[in-house]
Amino acid sequence: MKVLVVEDDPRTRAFVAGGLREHGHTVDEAESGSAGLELALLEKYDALIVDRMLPHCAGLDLVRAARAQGIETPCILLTAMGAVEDRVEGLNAGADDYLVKPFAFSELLARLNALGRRPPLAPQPDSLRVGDLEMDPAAHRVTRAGKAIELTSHEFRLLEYLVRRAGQVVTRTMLLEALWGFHFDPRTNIVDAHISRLRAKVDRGFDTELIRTVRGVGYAIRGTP
Amino acid sequence: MPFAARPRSRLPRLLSTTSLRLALTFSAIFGLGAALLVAGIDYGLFRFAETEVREDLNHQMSIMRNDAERLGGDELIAMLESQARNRDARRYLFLVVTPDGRTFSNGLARGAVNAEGFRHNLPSKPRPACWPDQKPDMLVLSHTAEDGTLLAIGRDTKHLDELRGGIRTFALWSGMGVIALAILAGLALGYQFLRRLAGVNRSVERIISGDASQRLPAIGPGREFDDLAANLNRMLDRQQAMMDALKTVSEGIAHDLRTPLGRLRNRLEELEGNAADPRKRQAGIELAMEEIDQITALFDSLLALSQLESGRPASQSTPLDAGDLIETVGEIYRPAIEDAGGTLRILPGDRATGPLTVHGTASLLTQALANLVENAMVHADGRPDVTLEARRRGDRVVFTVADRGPGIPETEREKVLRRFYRMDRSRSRPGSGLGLAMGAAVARWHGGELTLSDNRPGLRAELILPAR
Repeated sequence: MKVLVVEDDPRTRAFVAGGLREHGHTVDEAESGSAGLELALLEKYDALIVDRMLPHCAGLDLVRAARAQGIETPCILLTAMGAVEDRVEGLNAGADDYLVKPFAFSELLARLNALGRRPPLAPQPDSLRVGDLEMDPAAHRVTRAGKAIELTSHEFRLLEYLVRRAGQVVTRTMLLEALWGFHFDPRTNIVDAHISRLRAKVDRGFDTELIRTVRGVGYAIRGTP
Repeated sequence: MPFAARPRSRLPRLLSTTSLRLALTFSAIFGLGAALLVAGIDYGLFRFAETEVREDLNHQMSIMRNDAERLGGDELIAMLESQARNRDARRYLFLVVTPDGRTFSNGLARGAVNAEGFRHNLPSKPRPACWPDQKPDMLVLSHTAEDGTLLAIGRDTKHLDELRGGIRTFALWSGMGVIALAILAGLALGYQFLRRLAGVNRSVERIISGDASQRLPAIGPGREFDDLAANLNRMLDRQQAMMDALKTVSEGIAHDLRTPLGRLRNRLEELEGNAADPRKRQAGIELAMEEIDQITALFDSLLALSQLESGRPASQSTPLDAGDLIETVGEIYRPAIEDAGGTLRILPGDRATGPLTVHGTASLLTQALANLVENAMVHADGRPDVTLEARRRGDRVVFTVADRGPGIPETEREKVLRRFYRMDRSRSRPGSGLGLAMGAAVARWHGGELTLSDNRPGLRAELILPAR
């Protein structure tokens, strides 16, 4: 993926850009909002990573200006302001995702990958498939190797979230935010408890484990070993 | 002593105090009014007295004219001479001059008399020293009869002038007295006021120099001033409460940061020793990052809490069903509670007693309820048994999170709602000391309250919000 990183703090920029290059992405860097906007308008990127507080042109203004120019490149805002209304403001400005500093690089990577593969307004297929697991969201039906699996609505939504991002790492924070609207860190391992329930129904008794744990980051569902 | 110099400088300040200036202004206004009154009285009195004298002279003249016509000039003179010793006659000065030159006068000079009509005259006698002016003090009426006899009657008006003088003197002295009294009273009031203000200033100086318990004395003398002092004191009380709260928070942050930072340091030290073993190194790094995440979470909670308490509006409020909220939160926590060997009961409420709708922000209420559920889980001794319930109580909707854990002693229940307050036995458990404070802040933000009571056994937390 070709990514533009707009961040004024040189250390954070080097950390983000360096990490992305290590994972095989092509990275351009800008240290001010105006320089970032110029690059975003000139070049074609697969994703933008924009710090919210920037000299000359704030991150929100950059996103708004880019969207106004018809640039639909997916964008992740980085910020030190993590209150719910700050997130809402960022998303309303046209950002696709929002990451509160300090963040784990793996979290950024996971969200970036999720963004990069998000098909632009693709029609939802009737049935989703991962390996021998098949799920039909409209009928609320899941089968594995032809065998029906009974799931609660919470379990179903969790599985659907994973299956729609099959092959990608999904972090605990992404699950908390997307599934339950939790914008805070719970003290208890509620995500892991839900995943272990889901595993018990989806993976137990089958040869291949579909739901994988990615240590220190989150989970991923994969059809192939 | 920084205040020693103050009293000496008070006199010049006294002269510029408001009360003195007010006293001076009022006495000036009073003096002007009194002067106008005195002038009015003076003028009216003079007019009245002069009219009276003129009428009296006309009356006397008519008597004398009758006498002159009846007796003739010579007889009249003889009669006047015989009456000259009469006491009453001495009030009047007479001059009679017959055509043949015979004259009677008891002090009225020929030159002071007209041939006909009234005439004001200069004093005929030396004036008393205290009234040395040159005002006319005699009124003379004269008449020339048909036979050529000149008749003149004069009357001394000095008593009138003296009366006017007396009034003026009295007005002058009493006016000066009143003004002096007003100035003295103004000075006294001003002095008293300044002295009280000096007391207030001393208190303020003490507060500035750090004595936060100092309060302002009553300023007086008016109730308004005392109200002002009382209001300022209330402001100081509020400020101090806020300072105390801030101090608790700062100390809480310092303390709660110290713990994870200390652990973080230990992890890194261990890591330094284990650098050679890649597995131990990886585990150490993960543990260190967990500690950092905990610190970050603490700051997030603090930020969220202070935004709530500063009344900054969060996302939009919408109508929410309390039963649905309770059910959602419950189902999110059910696996974790059951994995810990506990039980969860969800009673999403009976709509028969009234709708369970509240007006609020779902993310905030979810967080508050999640905090309460996590408290029940973390503080359970052994298996967490949690009951979640939504219920209508009058015009309120009650969210209940009850557990069967050790509970909170009654004396501690109010304190645990404060930021960073942690009971001794809970210090070792995970938590920031902000969960209940957050719950209480969310309740207040929604116009409700968070109450803690005994669940016999266990803790019963009730988030009570106004029903919609």
